Amino acid sequence: MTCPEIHDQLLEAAPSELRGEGESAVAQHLRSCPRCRQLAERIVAEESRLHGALATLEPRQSVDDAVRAAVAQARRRRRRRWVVASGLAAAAVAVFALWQSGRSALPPSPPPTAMAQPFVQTSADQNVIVYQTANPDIIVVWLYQRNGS
Amino acid sequence: MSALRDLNDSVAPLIVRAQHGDTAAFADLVRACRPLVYRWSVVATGDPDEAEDVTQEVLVRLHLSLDRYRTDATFTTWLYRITRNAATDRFRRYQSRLRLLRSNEALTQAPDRVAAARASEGVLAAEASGIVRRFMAWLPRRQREVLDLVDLQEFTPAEAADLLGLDGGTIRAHLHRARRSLRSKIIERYPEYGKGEGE
Repeated sequence: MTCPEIHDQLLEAAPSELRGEGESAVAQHLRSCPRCRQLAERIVAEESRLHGALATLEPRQSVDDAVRAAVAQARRRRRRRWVVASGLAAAAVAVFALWQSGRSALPPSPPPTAMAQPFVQTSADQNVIVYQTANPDIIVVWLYQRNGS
Repeated sequence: MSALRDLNDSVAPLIVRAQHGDTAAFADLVRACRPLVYRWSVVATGDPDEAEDVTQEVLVRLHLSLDRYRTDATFTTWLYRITRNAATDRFRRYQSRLRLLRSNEALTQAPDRVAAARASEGVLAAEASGIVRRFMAWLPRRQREVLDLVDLQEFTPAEAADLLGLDGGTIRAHLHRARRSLRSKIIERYPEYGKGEGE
């Protein structure tokens, strides 16, 4: 494997390979090629520097102050949640009460009744025709003489 | 693996006590976890100052939700998700504030003031010149997270997958892309190493 090919492989190699560990083609090449090994060592050094920088960074606030502030903030949020929740509950109760009072103020609707059959009494010489209109409150009753009058 | 497992083992009794209202146990829990949370926050936000605020927000959320934590989930995985969500929320708020600021400036400022505002953003970018900030600028968030967990903190890809909620293949893809981007930048900074002559 040539050095340019190794350079390309260095870009994705595992850190252990960069250190020349193991029997991969990259590791074997690095053990035998000082120039590529120098490049790999540079990459390892830069990544270690980055790791060290990340490990040494820490928040400026002390742990005790951070804990105190976190506990106080959490309490405030709990209280705020409680206030919001109780407000919502009160609003829900008020809406329910209004709904209930509205229902009781309305006149009771009449119970549905079955359609009553009309009963028409006529004299013996009369015929009768009863016509039920589409309006259940209107019934047309036609009385006429039996003998064609 | 051992670092995370050791941490989970050591904080388990603290969690139980803190769940029962023991403030001292909560403080010890914070003491044990805060360095890790801060590091995750730095990697997630790309900014050590932002990370401090995110870390504090994580502590608040930890206090608020610790009683809902059940030990059948790994504590560090649960904590990592809280951290990631806090960082994401902060980023969204920052973006919306920035949009509002820009729209206000565009409405109220003369063109030279807008140019000055852009220059001040450049100053902010110039401040981000430390090792960590430079590294953060080179990689997208997901790649930073995977590279930090696997290559720098030496978690296994399976652990990283568990923490990030990704499958192993996605972790490997992010890792390879992150290594390639980061190392290309490193090589650019050291042209004397250049391309090999071939052998």
